[in-house]
Amino acid sequence: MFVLIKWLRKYSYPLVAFLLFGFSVNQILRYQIYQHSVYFQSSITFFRTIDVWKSNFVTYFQLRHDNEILANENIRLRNQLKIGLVKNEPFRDTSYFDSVSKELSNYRVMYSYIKAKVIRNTTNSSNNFFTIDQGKNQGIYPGMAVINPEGIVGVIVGCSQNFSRGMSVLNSKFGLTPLIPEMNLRQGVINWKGANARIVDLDEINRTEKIKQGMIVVTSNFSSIFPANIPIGKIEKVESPLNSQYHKISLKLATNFNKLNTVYCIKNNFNNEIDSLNSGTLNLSND
Amino acid sequence: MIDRLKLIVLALILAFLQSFLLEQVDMGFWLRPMPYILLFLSFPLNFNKYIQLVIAFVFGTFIDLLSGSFGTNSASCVFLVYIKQLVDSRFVDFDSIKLQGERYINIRTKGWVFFAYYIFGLTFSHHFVFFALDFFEFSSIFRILITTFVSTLGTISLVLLFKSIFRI
Repeated sequence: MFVLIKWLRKYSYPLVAFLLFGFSVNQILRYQIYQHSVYFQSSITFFRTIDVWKSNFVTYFQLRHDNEILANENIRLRNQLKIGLVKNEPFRDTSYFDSVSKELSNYRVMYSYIKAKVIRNTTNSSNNFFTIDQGKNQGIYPGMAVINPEGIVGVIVGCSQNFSRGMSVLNSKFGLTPLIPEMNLRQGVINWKGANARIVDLDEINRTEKIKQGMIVVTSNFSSIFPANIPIGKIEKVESPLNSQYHKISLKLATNFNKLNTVYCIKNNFNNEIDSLNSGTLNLSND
Repeated sequence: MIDRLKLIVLALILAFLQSFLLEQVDMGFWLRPMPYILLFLSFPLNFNKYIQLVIAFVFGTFIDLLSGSFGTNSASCVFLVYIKQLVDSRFVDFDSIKLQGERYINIRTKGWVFFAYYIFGLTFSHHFVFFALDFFEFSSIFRILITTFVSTLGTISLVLLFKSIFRI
């Protein structure tokens, strides 16, 4: 303490000068529009650059985990294809590919995917957000769904030229109606109450529904943001309080938000069409 | 007492001159003289250095308020007074100046050469901080330096003119 007081007495003059100078510069940054915008633009760029460096460093320690989840995703995607692409036939003739492409040409491409890297992510506040290294220049826009190979991650809420900010599932404002495929039940809302980064609540499911522990929960086809059948999680605990008409369900998230690294932003190619149809602006008189 | 009154009157004249005359006249892109630094050059050498800093801040803020440039003048005034104090304590012998009957650095105290370096160095440092905060861009460094240099020459001419008018 004595040393500190001695130090303060010795350097009091430069300290006072620095304080007054700092106060003046603070006034400039607050009240002068040009300096204010330059300062914030450069500080945002600076902090994003630091985030990218940090994320590049941390990624190396998660490669094993990332490999594992990518392998699991591959298995799931191969099972979804159901057109026998790799049925013990590593060497096959070209007519095979012709038949596959003919089959695929009957489909419309509803969703486009843009790969991104998470450079900042929080899990410990009541409203969590994440930042990715892709922005308007790469085709990202607010409202796009974000998933990772494990499950859903969130929704994009703001974009700059090269970065975007997303609202994570671990956000009290996030809501989504899920599907329980085992019962074909499309009911309730996913909601995070802020206690645990692996657990969310599934509210508003009638107590008459026979929900069991261990049931898988995925995204439903009712959402125009998320594609159907993206894993959300697994039911961890079901309680049925007598004073409520709804179950009290805890859901263990499929996504590990503490190890969020590579994500996919999903663009619904028919979003405008669906929106205009829903709002009644599409001209249907000729149909 | 009379000396203090004289300083207050000088401060008011310089502040209004700066805000209502020099800021309003367009003298070209490179030339923005700020003769109000004469006030800080007229501070007596035995004047309390902390009070000097506070006066610089208040005076700078006053000019900022009059000319609508929040913080730029006050930051550069504080910087000027800080640098002036460093220079005074390093290069000036207070006792010999007192013996000469002077109260602050003048042409008579240490000669033309020292005074030229002194006034140019202080004015340049003040103007550099001012224009650096005004342009606020690393890429404009050459424009900042040129504007600082040209304005420094303008300011020194006006300071010398006022010195001869007010006999400071």
